[in-house]
Amino acid sequence: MRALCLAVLLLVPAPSRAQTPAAPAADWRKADVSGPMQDALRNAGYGLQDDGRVLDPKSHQPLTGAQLNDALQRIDLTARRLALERLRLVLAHDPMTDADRAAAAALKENLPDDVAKALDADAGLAGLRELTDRDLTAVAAYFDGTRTAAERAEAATPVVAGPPGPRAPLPYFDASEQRLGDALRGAAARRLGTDPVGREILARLNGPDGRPDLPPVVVEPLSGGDAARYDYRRRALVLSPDALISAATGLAPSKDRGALEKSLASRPALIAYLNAHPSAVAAAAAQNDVLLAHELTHAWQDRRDPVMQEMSRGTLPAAVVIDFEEEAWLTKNRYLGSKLVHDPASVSDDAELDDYRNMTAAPTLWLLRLRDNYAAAASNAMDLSETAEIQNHRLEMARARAVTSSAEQQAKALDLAALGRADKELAAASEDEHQRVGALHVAAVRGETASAAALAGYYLQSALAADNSADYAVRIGNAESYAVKSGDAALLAKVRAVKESRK
Amino acid sequence: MKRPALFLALAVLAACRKPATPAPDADAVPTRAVVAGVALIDYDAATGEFSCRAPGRWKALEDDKLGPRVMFFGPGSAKYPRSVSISVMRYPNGEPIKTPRDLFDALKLSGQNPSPLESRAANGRTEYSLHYDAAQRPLHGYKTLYMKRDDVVMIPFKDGFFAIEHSAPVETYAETLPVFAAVVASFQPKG
Repeated sequence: MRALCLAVLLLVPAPSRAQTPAAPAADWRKADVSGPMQDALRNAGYGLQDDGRVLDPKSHQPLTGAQLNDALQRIDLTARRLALERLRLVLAHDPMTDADRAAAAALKENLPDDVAKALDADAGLAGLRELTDRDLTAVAAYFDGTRTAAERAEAATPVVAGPPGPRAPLPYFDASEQRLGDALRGAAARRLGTDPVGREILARLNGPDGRPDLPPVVVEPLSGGDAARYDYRRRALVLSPDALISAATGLAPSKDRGALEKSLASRPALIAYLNAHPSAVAAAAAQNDVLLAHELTHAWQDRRDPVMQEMSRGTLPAAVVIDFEEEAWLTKNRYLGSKLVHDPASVSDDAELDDYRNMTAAPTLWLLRLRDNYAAAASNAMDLSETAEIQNHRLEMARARAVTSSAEQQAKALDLAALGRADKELAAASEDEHQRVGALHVAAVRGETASAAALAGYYLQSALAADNSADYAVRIGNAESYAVKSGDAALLAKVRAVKESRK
Repeated sequence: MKRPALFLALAVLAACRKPATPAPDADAVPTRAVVAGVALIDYDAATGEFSCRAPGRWKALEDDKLGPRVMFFGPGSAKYPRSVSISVMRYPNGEPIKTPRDLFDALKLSGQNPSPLESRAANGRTEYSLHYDAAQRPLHGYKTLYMKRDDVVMIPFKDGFFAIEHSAPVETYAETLPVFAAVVASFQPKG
């Protein structure tokens, strides 16, 4: 029965392979493709065009409806596999508490129908485990069956450390995109290069010529309101059009901003405008530099540790690793702290500074909330230890896989080599990351990252530059509070002297 | 476009399984009360440091890496999914916040504009409380997705205090506030 089922499962993508080129192009705008699913398609290399076409990553030809279905199905099954694997970990608790059941229920949106229904019906633990294992075996068989010999051989070779080599395809579909991407890379490097911590972040990305080799930059819509992300599948930095439009319109006279914003609504129009206005590109890098420091830290993680590339190959579970996020958030606040000391005029009183101030006031509470935010918001957010538990099970399943031919035996050997190597790499990266995040956190607690004196100086300057009494009152109040906190008597006297003189 | 593929995959998976025969789980934790439509269970912290009533069907995140605490995530609403949480933290936790006043000062210093710190005699002890509004932003962005309200009740214990916090969108926080009140009323520090 199971063999028959797997055979049927493997046949699912077959109709698309038989499609003729004459089949009409799919239109993703008319399809039921959610925001996160659009992100996943783009991360897999597909080009979602404004006219509705979905371009193939390699041929750049538009997909047919059946081909788009195949791509969506693969993404669906990838999410389903991870949800089943996480559920399996929860079901290992015996007896299960209501809290465990709640954790299981949180995975439901990505679970197969039968498992979701069994959870709703408060099924017994044994029954749930059996269903989960059975569905997991079927989904794993789908991925095992669709891997080519070449993909297996590639996965069995170690990931090469350092800058990405030729195996990373450039994520551009036309020359104007690449031109803008190159301009944004240059602007980002120039901006971060003005600060000591920024230069440290850039130097981690140095190429063979000893100069910063930033990842390619692409401009694409991002779901969930994100302004930027690092995409390890394409090894590219993704910036949302919204973040760039804001920078572009900020340079225009206020009376023209509304019309300009409307004219930049389409992606091609925005790209054309930015290619013609280098000052807007520089402004975009300046406005988003703290976020760029965060995303470039992910790029370094991707070059430093093989974990993300193993995820991209399918040899490790594709998680949003919370430990990596903690490192990126702590690093971007190191950068912001350095800017406050070296160039306070370049710091905006915005959401990034709010976050920095929260970290300054209570670093441990800040880190806990960060961890909770990821756990609540991203269904595949997990720490390295949970990723390792899932990887162990993948190895067990691969070891237990029955083989009946020499080809299957060879495939199994290659899979075991790839999964085993990735498991060891994950363990090594985990140990290093634990120490790295621990050191950054300790530095934040000690005030090495976050200086109350620097914030006092920033708000004092900002108060002096205020053009209305309300802003002045808030800023001078902040300056005084931080001066008190810093314990620097001379600084406090200076702030109070300004305050007194303005009375 | 997505649905046919999904249904096809589901149909294939369904063909590969036997009919499910769910059985009642004898080990399920019993519901002790239902408040504002939320079933509450008896919860004992894994660290043994406190017990309380807690939402049994909310996702629980126990994290002992940075100090013993637990966080329960509610389902939220269609407009604000995963937007409601109740958490328990213990201070001091490695940083210089040792009293409710210290936490108030930290929130004030970071510009979160907390309400005045109030104390009250309740549940046979002195409790401190405050609340503040904060912008909920994307994980990697600046937009304000919505405003949320945080209510914090602090219970002094030994050389520090426990902070129980309810976080929900400003528009809807009143709906789950009774659940928070029930958690606070049942909260018992232990060790």
